[in-house]
Parts: sequence; structure tokens; C-alpha cells
Amino acid sequence: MISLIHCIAMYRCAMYHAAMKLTKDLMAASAVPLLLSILEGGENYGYAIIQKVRELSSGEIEWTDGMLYPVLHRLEAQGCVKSRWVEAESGRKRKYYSLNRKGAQLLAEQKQQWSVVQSTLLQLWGPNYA
Amino acid sequence: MPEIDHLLEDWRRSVEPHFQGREDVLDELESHLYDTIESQVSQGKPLNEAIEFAMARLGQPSEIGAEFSKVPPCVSAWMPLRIIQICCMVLGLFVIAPLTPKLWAGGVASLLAVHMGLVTLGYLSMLVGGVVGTSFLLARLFRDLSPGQKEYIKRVALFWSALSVVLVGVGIAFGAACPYEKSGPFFGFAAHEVGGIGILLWSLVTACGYWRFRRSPQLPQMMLFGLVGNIVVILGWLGAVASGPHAVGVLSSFPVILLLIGSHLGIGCLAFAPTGCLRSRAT
Repeated sequence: MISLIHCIAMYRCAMYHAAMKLTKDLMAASAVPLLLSILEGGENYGYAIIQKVRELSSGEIEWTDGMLYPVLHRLEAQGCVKSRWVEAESGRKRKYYSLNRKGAQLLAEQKQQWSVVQSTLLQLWGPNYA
Repeated sequence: MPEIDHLLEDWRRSVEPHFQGREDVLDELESHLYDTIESQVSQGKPLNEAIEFAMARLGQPSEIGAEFSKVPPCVSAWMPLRIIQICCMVLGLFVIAPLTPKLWAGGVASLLAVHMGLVTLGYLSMLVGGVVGTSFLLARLFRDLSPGQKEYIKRVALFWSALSVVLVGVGIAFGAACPYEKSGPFFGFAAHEVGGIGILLWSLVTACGYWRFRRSPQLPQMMLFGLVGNIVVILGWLGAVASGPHAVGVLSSFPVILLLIGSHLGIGCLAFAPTGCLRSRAT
């Protein structure tokens, strides 16, 4: 019986997840901190970044792949990230991005701002808030 | 995979109009599509479905292109142009060096020296703009420059033409401030005065043109502003000297002036030659 309830709960949870879509505005607002946070972990390229976001968000953050690149290029134009083309053994080229000092500063600011938003929401949605 | 290569070439040709010559962006998107297709195929999806899936995930090229049009390409310096600019600056200092004693003489002589120095530097700035255009038009016959380098060229050309407007404009204002009895009427329709006004006007047109078309992908055609600027300077400066009573030096002789104008017209025609045409002939 317990396992049946557990299964139903999981199913409902999965349904909820399947139905949940982040709004366009939230996706746009979170793109920069997500990109910078991934690049903080090391040099990476567009396709791998998208896969990483998809994996970490369990598929809930679904970017239109092509829309990632203008954001990366804008960050590069602002001097927050730098890029280089790397040729793989197969001969194919990939453009790798990495964070630079200005990008690290921007990320630190973004972390502070998102932490404020997160802690405020958690307080509002917590049991102590009537 | 050759099939993928072939399909991606077709895709690239079809979406090129949306990306206004941003080859680097197309390279990156193509690489992304390749990664997606390869990943899908490795998971067992048939090639056709994998391609459809990758295209759908990438999104509408028109929308992506519209987003990219809001992002200027990153500026990356073009080394030959840096060297050329440094050489031109050194040349400019040599040209105005003889005016230095007059500059410290005081009175009208100083005023005239400032006028001549500023106007001369303004003319040279205009010429540097033309040299920028010439360098680009010659280089593109052999290879296409990166979008960042093209952006750098646009900015450099705009800078020199704007500097020319300021220097020639202020220089002419200093000339106006010189007393009548020492330097004659402010504007007496002499050849060098008409030439100076012509150069000022064309440098203004050039600066406005570069600014107006700063987002345009038609860089070769934009560079024609600078080349015409050079012709205007040759006529307005060297031509004026050649037509006056104090024509000195080889540069102020009419055959040389005609040769310089002819060579600029020839270089201007290169703006309509296909990029890399000499490279393809060599290979």
C-alpha cells in the first residue's frame, strides 16, 4: 500500500514537472547567471553548456538552443567572457568560452542578487509567514 | 559524416541572409547542429529524424539572426592597421615639425602656425582614413577578415574621419582669428581656401557616413568614403599648392596628382571584387 501511494506521488510529481514551464521572462533573466556559473567551472562550448543546464534542471529549463549564442556573444562583447576556437581530432572546430575577471565580478554580483530574491521568497513561502 | 556535412552546407546557404555576413556565428551554429545530430544518431535515432530534431531545437534562423543583429561583433585589432596608424602618426609629426619655431614666436605668427598645423594634421587624418580603406580593400583580395577585425576597421575609419573634422574645423577657426592685415581676408576664394572647405565638408560627410552605416555589412563600399576623401585631399591640398605660385616638390606637380587620383580610382574598383579572389586563383 505504502509503495502504491509512493508510486502515485511520484507519478503526480512527474506530471507536475512535465507540465511546469518556466516563463520566458524568468528564462531570460536566469540565462546570464546560469551561463556564468557554468563557465566558472571551466572552459566550455555552447552545446555542452545547454546539455549541462538541461541535466542540472532535470529538463525543466529548456532553452531554444540558438538563443544561447546571442547571450554568449553579448557577454563576450561586454568583456565578461572570452572565446577561442579549438580544433578537435576529427578536424571539426568548436568555440570554447571561458570566464574572465569582469565576468567573475558580474557573477559575484548576480549571486548576491539572486540570493536576496531566493531568501526573500523562501521567507514568504515558509511556514512562519502568515 | 559526409551526409551531415552536405546537409549543413545547404542549411548554411539557406540561413545566410539572416546573419548579415556573420560567418563566425554561422560556424558556431553549424558546429552546434553537428553536435546535436551526432548525439541523436549515437542514441539510435535515424539520421533524418536527428537532423529534424536538431533544426527544431536550434530555433528559427530569422529569430536568432534578429537577436544577433543587436549584438555587435567583438572588436579585435588588425595588426597591419595598427602599424600603419603608428607610421602615419610619426609621419604627421615630421610634417608639422617645421612649424614649431613659429609656434613659439608669439602673436600672429603663432596663430598662423596653429592654423597651419591643425589644418595639416586634419588633412593627414583624412588621408589615414583613406589608407585604412586601401589596406582593407587590398587585404580582402587575399582573405576575408574576421567580423571583429572588420568592426575594428570601421571604428578606426570613423575615428580618423571625425578627428579630421575637428582638426580642420578648429584649424579654419584659428585662421579666421588671424588679423586681416597680416593674413588677408578670411575667405578670399583662393585655391587652398576652397580646397580646405571642400576637405572639411567631405570629412564631415565621411564621418556621418561611417556613423550612419556602422551596422552595415557592406564594409568594402563603406571604405569608398575614405578613398574619395583621399582624392578630395589630393585635389584640395596638393592641387591647390600645384595651382599656386609656390608649387614645390614632386607631390605638387599635376602628373603626380593625376597618377595619385588614378590609383585611388583603381583601388576603389577593388571594392566590387569578390572577397578572396586572388587567393582562389592561387590555389
